[in-house]
Amino acid sequence: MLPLMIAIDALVVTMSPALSALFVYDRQLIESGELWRMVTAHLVHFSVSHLFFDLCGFLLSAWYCHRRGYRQAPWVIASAALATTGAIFLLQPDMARYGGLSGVADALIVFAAVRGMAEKGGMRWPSLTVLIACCGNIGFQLLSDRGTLEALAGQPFVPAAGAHLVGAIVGAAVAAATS
Amino acid sequence: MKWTRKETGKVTRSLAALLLAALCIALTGCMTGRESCRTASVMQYLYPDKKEHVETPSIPELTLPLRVGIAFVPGEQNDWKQKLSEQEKMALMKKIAGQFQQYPFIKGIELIPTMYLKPAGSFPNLDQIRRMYGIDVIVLLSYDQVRRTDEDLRSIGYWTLVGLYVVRGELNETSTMLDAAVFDIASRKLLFRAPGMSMVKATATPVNQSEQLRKNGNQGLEQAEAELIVNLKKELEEFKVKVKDSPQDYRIQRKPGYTGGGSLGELYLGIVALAGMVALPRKGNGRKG
Repeated sequence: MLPLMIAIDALVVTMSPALSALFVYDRQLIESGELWRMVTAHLVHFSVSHLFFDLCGFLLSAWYCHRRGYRQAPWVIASAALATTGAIFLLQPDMARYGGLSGVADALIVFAAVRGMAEKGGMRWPSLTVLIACCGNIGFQLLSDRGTLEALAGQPFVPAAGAHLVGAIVGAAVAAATS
Repeated sequence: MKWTRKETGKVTRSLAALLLAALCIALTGCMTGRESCRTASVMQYLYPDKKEHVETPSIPELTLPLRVGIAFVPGEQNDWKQKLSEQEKMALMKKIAGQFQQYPFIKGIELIPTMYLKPAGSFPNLDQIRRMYGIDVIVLLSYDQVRRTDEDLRSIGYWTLVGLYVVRGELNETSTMLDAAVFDIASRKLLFRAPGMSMVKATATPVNQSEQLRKNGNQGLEQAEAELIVNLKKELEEFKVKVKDSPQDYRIQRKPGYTGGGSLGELYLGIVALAGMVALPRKGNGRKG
């Protein structure tokens, strides 16, 4: 139920410019005391395609965790939500605004994949494939300047590779701790 | 005194010749048109007739998000009555600013009054404006409006004097061109341009001629503005694609203040979905928590 509620919230917030303005990660406003933005930023998306892909990844991974019976998924969501924006705040002072659920989605994906690696049966190869794809995706974003070009090509933001990396680390850590 | 038939014929012929001559003069008058124009040329502003120095554009380095300035280039010195008013210019600049504001890679837009641009000021003047406003890119707006007036055959009616008030014998044509040229100031490179054109035709009586010309001028500007906005949007979209496709022609950098967002790629999501389908046990076999 929690992922579904988060997804609906994200949809509502993204469709409402007033709510988006109230919830988005805005470094200046966070520094002036609006700390809720550290958590609510994940509900804000900057375009329809941004929302679509993030919700797809988030709901897919949440549904998968539910089907596999990984009861720690809510903990992954909560810790990734705090860790990603916290890392951006501490390590990326240049980033004035941030929004998106993909850091949390990445945490869930990696969590499920690491848990899958530890399980017996036919889980290992698909889980390994997902982990490789995740590393490739983050590595590509970190090393290439694709993000900047994407920003100019229509997306109203540059992909925050750091948030994905932190999300993945959180997912892997929770999975390792609970396996 | 009684005129003979021969004398009457002579007088009639003379009158006919006189009338014919008058008609010819009137028609010749119809052929000659009057023309006036108001112009502010971007070429004249950026590349005046100077021989000592030639500006060579280099590869533009666009640092995102961009700060954009919008300004009208100064018009001709001698036609102050014909010039666009500062209010008209500001109204148009605001509309153009609206087009740029919707793009995330644009951080701020400055509307620069024309008085800050020196006639034939060229790039040194733009460098001053760049420092003053802290802009990277400037949209230079220029215009060229030509009004042409002719008189048609109906203008013969002016001879009746009343005709001056009721006969619409003045044919007016107003052609307008607005142009927006977007320059990267540092590299002197034209990034893209968008035109807007219009042609307004109307008739008028001599008495309301100047009023009609003014109306036509304003209408022409409005139509050209509308076309310019549409073209500007199109050119902006094409420019984004061009920047993406030609990284060798445009260097892109980031600067503090950008927006970041978590984004999952289609390929990555596809792999995750596929792996999930393979890994997920069939209904009934799954471990439910």
